[in-house]
Amino acid sequence: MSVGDVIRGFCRRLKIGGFLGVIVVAIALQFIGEQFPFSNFPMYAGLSSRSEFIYFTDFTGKKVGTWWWFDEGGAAMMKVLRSVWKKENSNENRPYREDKVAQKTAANYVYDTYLAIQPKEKRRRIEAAGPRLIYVEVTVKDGELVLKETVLVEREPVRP
Amino acid sequence: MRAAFAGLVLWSMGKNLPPDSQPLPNGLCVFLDLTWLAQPETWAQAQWITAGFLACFVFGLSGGITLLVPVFFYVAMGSLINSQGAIKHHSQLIAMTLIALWLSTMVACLWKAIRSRRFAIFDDVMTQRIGIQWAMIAIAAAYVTSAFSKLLATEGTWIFRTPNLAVELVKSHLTVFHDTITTSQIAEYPPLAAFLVDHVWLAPILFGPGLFIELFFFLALAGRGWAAVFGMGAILMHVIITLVMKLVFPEHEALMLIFFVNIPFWTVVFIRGAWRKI
Repeated sequence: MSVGDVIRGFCRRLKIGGFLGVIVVAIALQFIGEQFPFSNFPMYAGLSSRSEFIYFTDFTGKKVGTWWWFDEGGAAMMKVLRSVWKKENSNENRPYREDKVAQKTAANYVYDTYLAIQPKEKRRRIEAAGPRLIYVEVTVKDGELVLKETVLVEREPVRP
Repeated sequence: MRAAFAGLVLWSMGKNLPPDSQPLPNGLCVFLDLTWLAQPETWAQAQWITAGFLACFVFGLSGGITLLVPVFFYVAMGSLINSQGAIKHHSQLIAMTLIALWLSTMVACLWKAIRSRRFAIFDDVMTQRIGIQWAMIAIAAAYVTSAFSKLLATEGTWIFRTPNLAVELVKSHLTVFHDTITTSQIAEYPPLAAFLVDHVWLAPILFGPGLFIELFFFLALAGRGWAAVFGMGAILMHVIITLVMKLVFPEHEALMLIFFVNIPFWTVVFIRGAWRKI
């Protein structure tokens, strides 16, 4: 059996196995994008030199686990914040990240939305704690990791 | 394979209670209000109904009939979860596999009905094999499209940008830390992040193979051996992602085990080989 025969046999198996189907579906997924159940799976596709996340504290600055307050992780809330931030960007000709007003609007939207879906008793506990939403930007500068924190939401404690 | 996949679908449904709102509709929620499904009693009933249909599917009854209801409930669940403003990527692969199995068996069922004017209640061996092939095509396409996304977003330079994963590492670790703070208030940076910043040559070596596994995943369709190799490669990739980025995708690993690594097949091959030697 020659090398050519081996390669031809392999290509035939691949063709029978559905190689064309994979390519067609993969290209279709790129066009469909993020509509469940379809996705183009863009996780870690861009690899920017900056990243970001959020977390919560009470009015004293003590950190509180996002899951304990909102039954949701910071990653999902950050995605919502980013979506709203882009939508609220007042100037389409400049990057949405430069619109700090839109950033605060988005952060307040995220906090209010997730607070509203909590049970009444839990909502009271969160409001009594005087919650703060902290936005953290992670970058690399001069060969060092740099974290820059900004308080985007600051609510006074509400006595029950 | 059918039983394992049915178990995976039910496990995935069992760990998710769909949210009871759809503020930013995605998927089926664009067309339908599915919030009625989020009531705990309704969702529990939906799971039991799905289990019943999946049991029929496992028993061999035509997937074209038995999978329609599971497809609806699973896609509805995923649509609701992804209608909150943030897209999560845990359940798309299972949903696409369900749809591929349903479509292939429905097409086979209709083809037989048209050709021989007979309705087949049970899927024959050929139909089952085609169903598995379509499922593998759907899964492989997801990995290939993930590679396409990386190359398109970075204009082909993704591997050279992998040192930037250091900031993603910090983000992932600190997000997980802040999600579940209990006693310690001080976050620790993952040591690998600083190491990647100091040794930029390491990132392409560590993360580059993952891109090749994704891009060439279609080779898994060349035969059972290739499927097993790529299946194990994908599982290893996910294990490394879990260790490094603290991101878990048990659904994807399970699909690799069921459809690509296919332990039962290799067990039979091994036993037969050992038996012949005896």
